[in-house]
Amino acid sequence: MIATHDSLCGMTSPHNRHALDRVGQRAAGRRRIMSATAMTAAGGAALALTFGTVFAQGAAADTAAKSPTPPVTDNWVAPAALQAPAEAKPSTNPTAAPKKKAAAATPAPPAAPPAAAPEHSEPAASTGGS
Amino acid sequence: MTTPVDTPVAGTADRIITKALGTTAVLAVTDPEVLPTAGLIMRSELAAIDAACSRFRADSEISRLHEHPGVAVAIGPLLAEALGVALEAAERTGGLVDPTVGAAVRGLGYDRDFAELILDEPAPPAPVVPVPGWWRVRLDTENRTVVLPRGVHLDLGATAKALAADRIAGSVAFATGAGVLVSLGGDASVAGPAPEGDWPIAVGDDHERALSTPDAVVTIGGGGLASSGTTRRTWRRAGRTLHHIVDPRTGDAAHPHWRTVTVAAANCVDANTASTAAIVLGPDAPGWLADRDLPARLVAADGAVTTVAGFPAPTER
Repeated sequence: MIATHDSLCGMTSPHNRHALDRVGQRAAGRRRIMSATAMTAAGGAALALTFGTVFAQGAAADTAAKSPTPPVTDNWVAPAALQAPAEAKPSTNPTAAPKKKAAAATPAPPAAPPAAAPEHSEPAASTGGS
Repeated sequence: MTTPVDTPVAGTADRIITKALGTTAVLAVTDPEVLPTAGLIMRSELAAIDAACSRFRADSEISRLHEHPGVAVAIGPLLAEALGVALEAAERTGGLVDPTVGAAVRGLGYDRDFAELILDEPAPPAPVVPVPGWWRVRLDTENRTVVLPRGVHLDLGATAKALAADRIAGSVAFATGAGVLVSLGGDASVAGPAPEGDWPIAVGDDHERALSTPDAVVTIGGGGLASSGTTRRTWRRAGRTLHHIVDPRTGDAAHPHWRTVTVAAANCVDANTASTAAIVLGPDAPGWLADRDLPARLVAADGAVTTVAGFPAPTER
């Protein structure tokens, strides 16, 4: 339906007062919604700014506390806790004489080697497979 | 290890022979008057070591440790000492003697006291894999706690018996002042003043038979004398003969290149550590022992005897 001059002028008449009130109420409602949306957006931005600052400060503190990242090198080896100590690995050359540092870390020899017992001596004890 | 101490099976005025830790225990002293005291000390030590280290007892400390993997567990002073000794033995042998062989030994079939083991079964043993490695065990000696990673099972059999022999000999000599010889299943330790001519000890493939029919008799005045062998404590799985000495590098029973290796060292723990390492090393063992000045007698599978570092040659008796 096309609105005519008569029909528009007719809106101002007391007869159409209720219709005008409804339009005003809708407009006011729209303004309230827009206002609330704008306030929520502003509040969200403020919260983001606040927490962002806090997190950024925390991250900066963590970074400052850490030791500097070691440079990447070709001969990097795993930390000791992640691998077997060198001396723990069964030697590939077990007959090699122990190194000087390892000399103490080996079963200790006796003060004197065993001697052959005299003939017909009665053994006090025995050793062998068990 | 079970049955810490049974009733004495034999003895003389200066010697006790009894069954303990699933094997034979011999205690000899230079002064017969101290034998009762010495016997009490031995029984006490054997009971303590069994309660701490036996993997066949559900109520032992080490069994309880196995029930709590991955967390720090407080342990008693004796287990802490025994575990420390085992880890040190591993370090000293470059991992040839490793206490983390527990699962491997069980996988091979040695999963209960040897007296209860079914000696011949048609089923094959579990597939073998290298053992986890001793360095994974975290022992805090100050706080006396240990962290055992998941899947790691300990077997202190290579060192705990020798440690017990050293502890008994040291304690008896300290308490009585007498000379003492302790032999636990062929792991011998002496302390205190030795008798004239030193302590005569029989050597053989089987420590029990050696007492009556020795292959050799040698004397020691101090330290320890221990043997490891591949012919005693054997069983069969799927037709294959297995023994209790595991090569940590493979997780399988060590190749029986040597029948028996006997080593003399500064103490019984070191002697047993070296004799076990020698079995694992196989043909490289004589050189390894000689480089460390460890007198030893090695009997090959065919019976040929090799001696190194001053151990009396077969013809010397």
